[in-house]
Amino acid sequence: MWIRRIYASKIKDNNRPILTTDLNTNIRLIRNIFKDDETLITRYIENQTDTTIKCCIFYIDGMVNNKLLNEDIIKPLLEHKFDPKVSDLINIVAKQVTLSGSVDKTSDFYQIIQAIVYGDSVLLVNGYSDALILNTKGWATRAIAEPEAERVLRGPREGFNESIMANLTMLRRKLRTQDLKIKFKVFGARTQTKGCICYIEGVANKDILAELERRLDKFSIDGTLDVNYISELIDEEPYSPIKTIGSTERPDTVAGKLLEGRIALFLDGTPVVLTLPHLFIEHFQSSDDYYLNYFFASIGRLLRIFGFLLTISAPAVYVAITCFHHEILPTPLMMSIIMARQSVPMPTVVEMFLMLIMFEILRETGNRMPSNIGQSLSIVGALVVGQAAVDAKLVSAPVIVIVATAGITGLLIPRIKGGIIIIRFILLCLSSILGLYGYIFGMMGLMIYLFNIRSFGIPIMNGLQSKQDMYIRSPWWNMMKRPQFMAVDKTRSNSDGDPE
Amino acid sequence: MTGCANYRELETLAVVTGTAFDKGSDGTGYHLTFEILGQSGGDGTQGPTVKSQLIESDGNTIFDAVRNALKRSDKKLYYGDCKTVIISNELAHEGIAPVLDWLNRDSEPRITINLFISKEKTAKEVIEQKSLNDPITSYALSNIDKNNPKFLSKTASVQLYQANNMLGDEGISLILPALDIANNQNDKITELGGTAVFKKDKLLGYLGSDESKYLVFIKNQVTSGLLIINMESASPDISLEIIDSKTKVTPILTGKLPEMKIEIKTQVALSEMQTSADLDTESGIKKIEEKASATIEANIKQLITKVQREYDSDIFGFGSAIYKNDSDYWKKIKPQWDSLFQSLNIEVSAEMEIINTGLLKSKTKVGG
Repeated sequence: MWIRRIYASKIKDNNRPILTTDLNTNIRLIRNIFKDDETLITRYIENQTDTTIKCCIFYIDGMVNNKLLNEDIIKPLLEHKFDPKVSDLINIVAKQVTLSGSVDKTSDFYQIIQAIVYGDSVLLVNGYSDALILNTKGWATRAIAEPEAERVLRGPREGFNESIMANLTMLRRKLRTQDLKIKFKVFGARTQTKGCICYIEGVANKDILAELERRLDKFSIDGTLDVNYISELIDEEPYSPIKTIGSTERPDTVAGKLLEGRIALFLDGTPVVLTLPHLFIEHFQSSDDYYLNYFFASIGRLLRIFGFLLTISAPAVYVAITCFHHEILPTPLMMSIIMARQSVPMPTVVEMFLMLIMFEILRETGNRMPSNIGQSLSIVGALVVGQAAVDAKLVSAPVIVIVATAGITGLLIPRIKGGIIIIRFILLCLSSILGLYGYIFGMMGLMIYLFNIRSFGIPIMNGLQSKQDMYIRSPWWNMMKRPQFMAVDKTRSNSDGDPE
Repeated sequence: MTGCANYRELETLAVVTGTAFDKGSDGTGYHLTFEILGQSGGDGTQGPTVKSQLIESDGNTIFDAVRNALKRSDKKLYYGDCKTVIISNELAHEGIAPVLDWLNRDSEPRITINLFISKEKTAKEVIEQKSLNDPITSYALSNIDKNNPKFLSKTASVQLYQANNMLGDEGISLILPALDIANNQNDKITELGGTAVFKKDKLLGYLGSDESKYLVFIKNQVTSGLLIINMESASPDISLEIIDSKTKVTPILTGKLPEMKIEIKTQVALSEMQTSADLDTESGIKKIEEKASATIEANIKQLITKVQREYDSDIFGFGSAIYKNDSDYWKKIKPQWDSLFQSLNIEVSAEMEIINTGLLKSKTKVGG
């Protein structure tokens, strides 16, 4: 709370200087504010025909489009033949001289500084206490590429980049309707990051929109470098291992979510876009699902759900069965586990914990290290941790199998990676104390928890997602309705639901 | 809680696969032989293999003997995977209810344990024999018993809970499959050897393998197996494979004394014909069917008469059939049931239907 107050006062309520009519004073004022920042370029201009007309342009080196600045702004200012009798010089400059796409006149010092730091140029004219803000933004952006984390087999291969305007363009190209509303907001007292809320008028639920805006207004933070800053601040369940706000880097996914009545939150400087409300089943949906044949997509989705159950349960159930309920084991399996566990020094639970942690370390290493070391990592992982550990009797082979199963199935749903690890360890702890009872209690607890948490007022486990798009992906001619309660206009299609 | 709240590593357990119950050497108490999973080898690239180990143990009671095994075994005995229990002849003569009591009462042994009676002197010698394929004799015996109703039907297979039912129910006596030792090549091997007949919980004697088959017939437990009949010569020459069989035992309670009607309906396949007689016509098939029916009827009558005379033990469950039919009537005759059973009049009618003759239509051709 106190942080909010300090930053707010620093920026807004400072004793702001006021522009004077004297150009040299104004230049000094602005240079004084950007003291010790050598990227600020001050370009002093005198008109060639009338040297009494003096201007000055401020901009930050590297953030402006130099060609545009030189040819469309500086050159006309230098060469324009002004009428000597002219009285309203600044308006003439704004309207008749500069070739910039947008020109704003302002005397607000705060706005002037904001314009300069965001790549616009500020033009001061001698004798006027107003400044012209010229849109000269131009900096290098990353090319549009397919997001690494959300590759698809079929479908568009474009992903967001770090520029919010480019991102909005990509979205706009997919949703060519005036109903697509984009509301800008500024986040971060120090970063002053531009962000925006997108929704489709008439489809998105206004209550959820109002709730989102309320939450966005409530917090204040000095910097937002990624949407996750915001996501954590507006999350209804900040302690939940399962996220209740979705995120994606794909324009087609965002467009799809908007069409379902969800709301998207863009932030400048990050390719990640938040979508909300976010239901639990959305973790298992992939944009592929909608681009591939629905049989194939449904199998894929069922596999992901099964993989989730397997990855959280496999270690816990293995420990429960081999350490508590030997009766369940078929005799031949029991014999081979006994044989494998001979002369392994650690209890099964400890083995399981160690190997799971080892797997997580390997995975994290894989994320962090440069990609050309990948090969040696897999050799170390597979040989040293797997084969050699079994041969050295440090761990038993069945545990490696279970850990590998849990690990691989965990990678099926990378979006709830963190939640999976936590749930898996909790279930393992419970089942190492109480056996299958512990596991069942744990699963019951998990279910109760999941059924209790909400995302922007919508229970995440509720079948509010249209049933045709839950565990399986129905063919499009069967998905007539949008998710209930989320969307205002509930009908997606007016056809009779039968394929021609 | 329910016997599963304690953490136990698998390798700290000695998994009992089978147990042989004998009388203690000095005539009191029990002498138990446990077959447990052991391991051999396991060096270099080859993993360890399973082998059978025996632990012998004495005790005043069964549980005492079970616990006394821990004097020799470094691992606690685990009974959850015990599949076979063999009870010695001698113990069974004295009564098997005390033996079954511990198995029923303890939480670990399952109620699906296969029970056997050893026809040999002790049960230990039966469990000691090596089996053909399975390194664990107990599991081999359990598998033999599993296959028995599928392909052989030469004795009833009895699991612990079924034995409990037969012991506890009225109007039916306990039977258990018997084991004996036979020669196989140069080795000795355990084999199924007919049925042990009990009265209450005491062993009376045994029925041979072929007699046991008709016992299984009467008990309506035939699902497979062969019927061997002789058409012409004195030696059997036709094998019929049973495909489906149903037996209905109906008590007739109208007369002064109760009577039993046994109706058997069997579908068979003609699967072997050694006779030279020309039987490949419709009437020939009919003849075989009639002969087979007659053989079954005769054998069943013979078996019942033998049991009535020698054992006087209602192993067929006739009393139980009466009880199910008319419980009041059963209550009246229950005190005299032993004598009534001995003189019970039985009517047997078997109906045989040959539904196919295998891949051959007539007998195998011999040219020249």
